[in-house]
Amino acid sequence: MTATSLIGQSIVKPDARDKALGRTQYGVDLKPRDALVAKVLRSPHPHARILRMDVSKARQLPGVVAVVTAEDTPAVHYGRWVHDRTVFARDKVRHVGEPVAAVAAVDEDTAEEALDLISVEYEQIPEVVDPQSAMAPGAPLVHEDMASYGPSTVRRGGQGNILDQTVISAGDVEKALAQCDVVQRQSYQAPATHHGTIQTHEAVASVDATGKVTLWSATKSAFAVRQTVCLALGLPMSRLRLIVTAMGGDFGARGTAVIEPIVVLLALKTHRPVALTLTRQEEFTGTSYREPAYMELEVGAKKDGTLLAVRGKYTIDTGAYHDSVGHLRPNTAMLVGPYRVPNFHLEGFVVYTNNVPRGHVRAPRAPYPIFAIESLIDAVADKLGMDPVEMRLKNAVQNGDTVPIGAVVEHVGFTQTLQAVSAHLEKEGKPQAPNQAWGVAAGQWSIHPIESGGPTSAAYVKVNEDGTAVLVTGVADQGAGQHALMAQIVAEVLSIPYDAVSLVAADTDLTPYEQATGGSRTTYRAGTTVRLAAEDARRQLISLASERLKVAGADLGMEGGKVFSREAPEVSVTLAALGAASLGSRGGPIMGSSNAGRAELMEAMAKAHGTVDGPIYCCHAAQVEVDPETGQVKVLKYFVAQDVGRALNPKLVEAQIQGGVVFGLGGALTEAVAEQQGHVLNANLLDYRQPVATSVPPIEMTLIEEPSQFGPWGAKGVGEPPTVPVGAAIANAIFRAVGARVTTLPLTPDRVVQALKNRP
Amino acid sequence: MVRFEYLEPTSLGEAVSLVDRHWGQVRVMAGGTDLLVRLKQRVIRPQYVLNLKRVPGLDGLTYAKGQGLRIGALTTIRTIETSPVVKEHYPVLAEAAGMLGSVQVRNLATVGGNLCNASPSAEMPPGLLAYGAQARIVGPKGERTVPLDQFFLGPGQTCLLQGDLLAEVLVPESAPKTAGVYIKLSPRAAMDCAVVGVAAVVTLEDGKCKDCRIALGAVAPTPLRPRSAEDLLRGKPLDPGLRERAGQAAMEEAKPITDVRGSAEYRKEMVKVLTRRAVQQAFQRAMAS
Repeated sequence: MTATSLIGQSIVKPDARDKALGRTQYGVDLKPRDALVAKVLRSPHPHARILRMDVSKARQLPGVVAVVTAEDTPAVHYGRWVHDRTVFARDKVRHVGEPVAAVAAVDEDTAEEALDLISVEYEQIPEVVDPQSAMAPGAPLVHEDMASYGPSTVRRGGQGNILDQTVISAGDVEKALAQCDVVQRQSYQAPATHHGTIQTHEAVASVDATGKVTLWSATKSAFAVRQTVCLALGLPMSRLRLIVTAMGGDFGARGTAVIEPIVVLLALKTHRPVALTLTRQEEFTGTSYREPAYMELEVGAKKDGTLLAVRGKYTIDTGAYHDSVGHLRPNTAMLVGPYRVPNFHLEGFVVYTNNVPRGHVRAPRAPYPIFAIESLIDAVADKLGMDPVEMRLKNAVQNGDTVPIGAVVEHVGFTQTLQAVSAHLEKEGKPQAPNQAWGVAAGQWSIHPIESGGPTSAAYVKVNEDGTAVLVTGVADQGAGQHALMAQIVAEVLSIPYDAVSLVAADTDLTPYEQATGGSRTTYRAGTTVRLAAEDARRQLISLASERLKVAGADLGMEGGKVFSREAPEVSVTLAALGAASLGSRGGPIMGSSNAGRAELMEAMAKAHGTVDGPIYCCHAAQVEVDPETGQVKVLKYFVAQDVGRALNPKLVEAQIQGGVVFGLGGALTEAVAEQQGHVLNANLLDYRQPVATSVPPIEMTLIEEPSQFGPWGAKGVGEPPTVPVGAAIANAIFRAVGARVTTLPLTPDRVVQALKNRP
Repeated sequence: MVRFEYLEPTSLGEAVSLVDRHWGQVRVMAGGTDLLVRLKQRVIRPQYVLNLKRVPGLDGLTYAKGQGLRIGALTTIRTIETSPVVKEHYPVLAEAAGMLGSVQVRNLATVGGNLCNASPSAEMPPGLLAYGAQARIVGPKGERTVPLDQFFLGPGQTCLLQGDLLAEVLVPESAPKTAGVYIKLSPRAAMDCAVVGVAAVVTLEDGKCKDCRIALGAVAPTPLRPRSAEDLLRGKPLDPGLRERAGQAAMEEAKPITDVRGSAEYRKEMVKVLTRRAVQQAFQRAMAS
């Protein structure tokens, strides 16, 4: 780093202005004029056999160009983690909203009319809509042929509707619980929740004369979606190019193929551009979102607050298809929270039901187990008459600890976050008004050991003839400023101004592979590879400068757009001159690749194998006011302390944390998909209540910087964790304010009133 | 959207005859904020959509001292919310209008649409009922005026007969020392439907309740006047016991259902709490007036 370092500077992301002014071009804005409009016919039943289907009338409707069904697709299964899906339902439908057929027509009205003309004869069969019934012997099977689904890494259940199950244990829970001074036991429940992105899913596909398909989609996982579409339709990857368009919100909605196989299939059938935009209603039945979960938890502690044992069970309703997280063990391990617990026995189950499929939503699978443990820890602290932050400090996970999944955590900044909350609460003082109080809860993310492979990410950096640079990266920007941050990294390494870096991004034909923009991995993982690519470009520049200046590379520095001799700074050459000279040079035009420094990185990673390098811990505090008669909860103030490793761009970090808290507020207080026998009752944004501006309190924060080893300049992920503890923080604040414990999310007024009545 | 024939009459007479002719197959559009959503979702599939926008004389507010307020059916909710006359003489209506949807919705939505939709949770009926409003209805056989508490028959059902259109709402002049309040309970602070809505308008004389009207939203198939609660209050000074009993009486008249917005039990209980609060606040405001 130099005196003029960009690291730690809050550079404004370049797309902010266009978005604020409504100038950003989204998918629909890019739709070709002659594009056909696609519409999907969906199952009205949660579970039914398809006896007969007749599309002939729809095909005859003037203006209809194609009607497709399962018969038009290869007989293959695909899926995010387990291959349990087909593009269209074959012999039976497993959920309301499952695609059965699709049409492409000259306009939307014609396409809708065509859907009306498709006749499907269903025979309804008994549905199973809660995991407890689905796990019972003799329950109707959602997938009769589960055992044949690949790959088997997720499919570890095998029994009936159980897709996956796990047990994690240590010590002797029975014995430990007997030795505890306080034991608290509680069941918790949490509902399906939706991303509610402003932009619904939309995609456009077009086929050229050679048969090559170009697909424009607002996905954050271009390469994974390409792979899925190619698998589902039997296309070689060379025949499909996916270009990512601007995203109007992600929150986990855009990490897997949703409508893309249908759009590509229709484009191939019609040889015309085809566009498909889901309606808001379809968003609630035709996409996949956060799983309802049931947690049973028992926590035991000594008089002094030392946690001795946790027993827990985590049951997840994954709906009709499993688009959700593939790793059950780390999610189940979340039941002990970020604490040292010597004895635990934890069980986890993932169960198929006839509900709408479940998938990723911001911080997938973390908020619910954390809601359970953080509520119960708070209850134990209360029982012991202990300050809730003190209780957490006493048991906080520390550097070098082995966490329940068996990995050793390093670079742990948890204690600092707890201390920051403590200091903040001291500064704020106890609210004097009646029915007001602060509540706290901790959270965690990225408690995964370092993978045995390297980062599934790569980048190029080209230096232009005028000394500016182009970053070529697979990273998709979901709106959080990922592109701005990647450019900031390149500018830092090449010591050029931030606006001298431009980007080519997220295009499966042009840019290198990228796993996904998700899981708080982009800065931490992709940022590291972008840095490697920029460093390779820098090495090439230094080497060329060394030839031209006749100074050994080791004696050269780079700053302010110049390479210069450290001994005699007047001996220098500009990057512009080097860029121009490189064109005909022996080494060729400057093209840095992240693969150049990769071996070294992987060697270092191999040494750290089995450790958790960038664990993210946080602690939240919420001040609420409860109306004890109506049960209404108003969040008055909010505070976050989070370990971010290193805040490369503090404004972007703050914005991510604020957004995460707001997202968490929705899940805490108002958001729940209302489901009845597999039907969604509130498939609209009036009755599916996301926070509005007036729901959001002032959010203050303290950033803790406990650097990671492998993130760029020590950075860790940021985006997922701030959503994790919000429900528990507010539930705990409600308890401190009025003495009522609500154990089901969201913490609605009627539940608060009920809990007040159940007060001991 | 489903295909339909679009009708755009330019006089009230023409509108009435078209509605009469296509009765059962026509949907009348005022602001369209509910209708268009339902058309797009194909929940309703009418053969005709009749837009009232070009019918003159249905839009706007007029207030005459001693005679009260006339609100044309096409008057937007935003107009009611921001009207100085409404704020001064019928503040409960302005209050309720300000709680309906967003500003964008309020700019389009009309009082006529809000009433004729006959949604049990609609924002405008409780306040209008509490002010003793009447509906002026124009139909093939002429016009008639109906007290608003006889206007609603059930969810989506009104007393409008074949060919009838709601032309305007008449709100009588309030007596001196009259004040009121609208309390809306919803999980979200804005952009939400009422789980329970309570309006109360009270007229005082010598510190006692000379007259009062209470109206409840979202707790029965139609907006509801809990008359037993009103009867309890009439002729008495307000004390905490009376407030509580009025709340209890209102609760006993409420017949809520359980739906995605709230459970029947919770709604019933909230009728008690909110009626008590509404009566209290209305009294306080009337005292101060």
